[in-house]
Amino acid sequence: MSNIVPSNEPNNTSSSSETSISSPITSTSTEHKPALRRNRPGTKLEDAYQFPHISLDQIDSAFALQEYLQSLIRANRENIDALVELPAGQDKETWQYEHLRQLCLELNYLVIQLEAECTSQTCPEMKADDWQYLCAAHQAPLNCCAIDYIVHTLDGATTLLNSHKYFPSRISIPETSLKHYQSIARRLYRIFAHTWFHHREIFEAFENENMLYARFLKLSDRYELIAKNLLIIPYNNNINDNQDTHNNHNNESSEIFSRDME
Amino acid sequence: MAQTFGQPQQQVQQQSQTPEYTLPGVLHFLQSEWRRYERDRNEWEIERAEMKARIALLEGERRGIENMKTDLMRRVKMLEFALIQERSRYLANVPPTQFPTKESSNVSTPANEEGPESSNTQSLKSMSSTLNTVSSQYKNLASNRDPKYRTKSREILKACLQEIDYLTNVVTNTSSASNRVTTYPTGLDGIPIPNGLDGSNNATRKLHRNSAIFVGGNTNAYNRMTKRPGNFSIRPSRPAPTSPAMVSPILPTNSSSPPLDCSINEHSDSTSTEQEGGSFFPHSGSESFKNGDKLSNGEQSSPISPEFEGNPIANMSSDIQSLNNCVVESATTNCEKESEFLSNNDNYNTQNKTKNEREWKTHNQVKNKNKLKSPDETKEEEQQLTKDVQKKFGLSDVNVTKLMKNANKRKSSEILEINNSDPQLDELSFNVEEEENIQKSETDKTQENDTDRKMWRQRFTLRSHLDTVRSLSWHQTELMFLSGSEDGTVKLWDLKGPLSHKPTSIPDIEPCITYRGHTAAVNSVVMASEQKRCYSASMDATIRVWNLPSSKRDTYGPVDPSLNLTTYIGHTDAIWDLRLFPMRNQNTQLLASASADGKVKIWDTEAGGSPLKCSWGYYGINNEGSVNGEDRPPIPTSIDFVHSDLKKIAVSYQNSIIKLFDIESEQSVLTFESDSTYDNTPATQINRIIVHPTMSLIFSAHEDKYIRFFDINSGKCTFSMLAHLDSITSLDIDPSGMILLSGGHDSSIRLWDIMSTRQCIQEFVSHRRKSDEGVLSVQYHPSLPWIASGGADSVVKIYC
Repeated sequence: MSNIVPSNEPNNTSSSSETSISSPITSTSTEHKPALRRNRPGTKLEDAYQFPHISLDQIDSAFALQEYLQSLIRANRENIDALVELPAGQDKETWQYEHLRQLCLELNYLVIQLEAECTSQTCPEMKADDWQYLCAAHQAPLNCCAIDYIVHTLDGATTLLNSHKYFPSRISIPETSLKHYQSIARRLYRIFAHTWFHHREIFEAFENENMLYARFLKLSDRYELIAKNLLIIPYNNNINDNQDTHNNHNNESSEIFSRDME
Repeated sequence: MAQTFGQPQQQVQQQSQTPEYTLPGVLHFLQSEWRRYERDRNEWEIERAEMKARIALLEGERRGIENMKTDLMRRVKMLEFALIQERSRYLANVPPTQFPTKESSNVSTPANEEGPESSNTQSLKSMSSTLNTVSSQYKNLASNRDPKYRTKSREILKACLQEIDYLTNVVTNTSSASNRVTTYPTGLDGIPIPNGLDGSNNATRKLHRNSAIFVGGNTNAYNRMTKRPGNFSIRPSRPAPTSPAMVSPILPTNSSSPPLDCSINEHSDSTSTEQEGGSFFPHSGSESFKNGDKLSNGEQSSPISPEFEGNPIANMSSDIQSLNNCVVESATTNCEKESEFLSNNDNYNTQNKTKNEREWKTHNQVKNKNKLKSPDETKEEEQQLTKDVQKKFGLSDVNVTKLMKNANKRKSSEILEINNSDPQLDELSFNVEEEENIQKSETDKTQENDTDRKMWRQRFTLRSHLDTVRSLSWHQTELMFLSGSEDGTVKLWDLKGPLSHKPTSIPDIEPCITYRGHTAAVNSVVMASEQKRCYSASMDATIRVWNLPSSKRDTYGPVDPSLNLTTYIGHTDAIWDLRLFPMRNQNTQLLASASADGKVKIWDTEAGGSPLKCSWGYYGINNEGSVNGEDRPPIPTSIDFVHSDLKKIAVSYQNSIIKLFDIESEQSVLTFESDSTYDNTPATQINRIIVHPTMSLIFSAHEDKYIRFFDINSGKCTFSMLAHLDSITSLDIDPSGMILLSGGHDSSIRLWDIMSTRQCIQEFVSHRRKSDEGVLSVQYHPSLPWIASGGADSVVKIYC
């Protein structure tokens, strides 16, 4: 219970190769890269996370994949293919897992943007296009308002991903927990969908900055997380192109009431 | 009885409660309850009796051990004194050869050995003659015995001498001091000893000094002479073991001291015990022959022998007793004045005598219990001991009581300072005290381990954050806390629910609420319990204020925008530390923040208009401009209010400097000497400071693995230690102010004893490293026995 990976000891030695004293931070060096990958108190925002990108096999910790992914994102978040591409020698499941975690993390920032605009008054129901979704975070599915649905979904997904029961390790994922990937991805997708359909400006501003939806789409495509017919945001190379050609999914209305969280 | 009790109750019950209860049913219930209660009470009583018996047993054991300790302490002192005597004798053997008058010192030996012929004095003639006759007797006897015996008795006598010295110092402090002055320093003059003896007769000042010299070389000469020397010899021997050089400056005043006769009178008046000491040697010889068999028996396992044979304590005590006897005998026979003195002390002594008697008896009993001696043996022993004790006079009694007192004092006193005026005794007792210290600390430790210093164990692991948890803050009274993470969220946790579960079956614990609002990593969170609010500071340069949700709120309740109270905008760069003013007075609650923009800002969280109260940089409010052309001023890393002076706030900077600012004037009032290991890189910066809640102490956690203690008033570093294997990130002090908690990038959490040992009490390796970070936050609950820690592994762990 105490550790996700009981066998994995804290890696005190991980820094041994990097513990050479960092060069002095001078006031002008915005590109300063301390040898130690840590943000010390007092670090300026512009200096934060200015770690040199290192290859995965150089990272010797239980969170190597997470670090690697975050490092990739910081390096170039627009290079979607590189982000989603499975690192050599890595487990497909754990890679997806880290992506989903990162997705939840970054979706928080989208929610912050949405909260200003999307309230129980403006969006009393969780809708995207013609779809209406019921919140699965409750004992019985509830018709939460959009922002509630989004927050609950995000909280639920975060909880599920952090669940010791379903994901006891970040090194290997139990076979039985893989099915959760789809349900998590499907629900997270609805957040994008709602934003795209009802808060397009926020969506575009956010997407321009983070390319999160593009990454998500790539991920679900690459690892088949979401059925193609559930992708209701027009699938274009240029997603900023507002073409509403999307009426091929009404037969999937049962999905509305899906409640696939155990 | 149950029925008589039960019936009225039952009637009441019948009336008041639902009619379903039947009379027999209720009766039966009450009876069974009563029976159960009786059974329980019986069990308790049995248990109590058992406990009592055990207490009695343990108390008996303790008493026995205490007695044994007293004896052993005495024994240690004796041995140490003997050692010092041996050393001083050895050393004193050298000086005479260095002095020009060394032949005379050689002469002294024969002179003394010749006995009465060597002393022609009038005043002391009779006395010395008796002494010498006795001593010659002793010598004869002693020579008949084996040399071992002689050396051993010599040791004993030495110890005895030391006891006398002690007594004289204690009882007649002033006079003994003057004696010491008169007699001791002159020893450096190196004037022939025979002259000294003669000189004392002549009572000239010079001769007096000479005699003192004789004294100075005392121990060696006398001891070699089988302790024959007379009155004078003893007196000086007291101060002998202490360094002569120390006393020598007083020499001039001594030279003007009255002639020896006077000094002798003085001695007999005020420090008669000393005279006793002086005269006892020869008699002790004869006395020891009286006790001869006993002594020799005892000396088979004499104090010198390292191994304990048979019953060392008994032997020891008998040794001491016999020695005391000797002292007493000699005192009474030789020195009437002394006996007067003793009789003065008699009241005191008799009191002690009985006490001692009792002590010895109990001591023996314990011993018997331990060693299972035959009843005859013990009886014999006891009789002998009581006899001894009865014979014993004040000296040893006083000593014993003194020792006991000292022992008790030491036991009770926290700081073990030696307040004794006699350095010699101090030296002797030093080791004993040290031993006691060790014992004490050991017992303390075990006790504390049992009670106060519990060992912390991990209780909960809370997973919900998606990235490094950087900050934690407990609710003042509730089992709730806040966590802030690099994932940009702040989460509120309530552990009351999970606590009701069995430890084995705790489901995944979800936070009560997740506060989303910051657009970058959250670096610091603070819970303001009284305000029912919390504050979070982020890399996005904002401080956000959140309302605590109502306790009824469901984890998946509707989003409540009203919880997001407000945002403090003012800083222009990442905010790294937040602290709430410890006191909430009237309608102000101050909040301090430290940011990478170089500023420390104070916010009045309940102000109507602009919350920003004040703001200052490294150089204070006015001297912002002093950054002429140079690099940007150092960036604050951590802040804390000074609890002892709430107008002040301590700020640590990236250049490893801690400054104390006055909140009112916004000026620096003190700069700490905290940058002793600073090397101009952040690798040696201070990561965290914390001010002790009650003492004027401040603790700093350094990137280069140090924890330092500073005095707030002086700014001086009072203690520095390498505390972790890697950088230290977090500090906290337990509510009692006794324990410092630290967490570091080495993934370990350590508890430190602040008050006494400054040692690590407990360590647990807790969080796993991500990047090069480990533990990032440790927090004591302010009122409940809980600890929370947050780490780079995105996990919060709770200990209790």
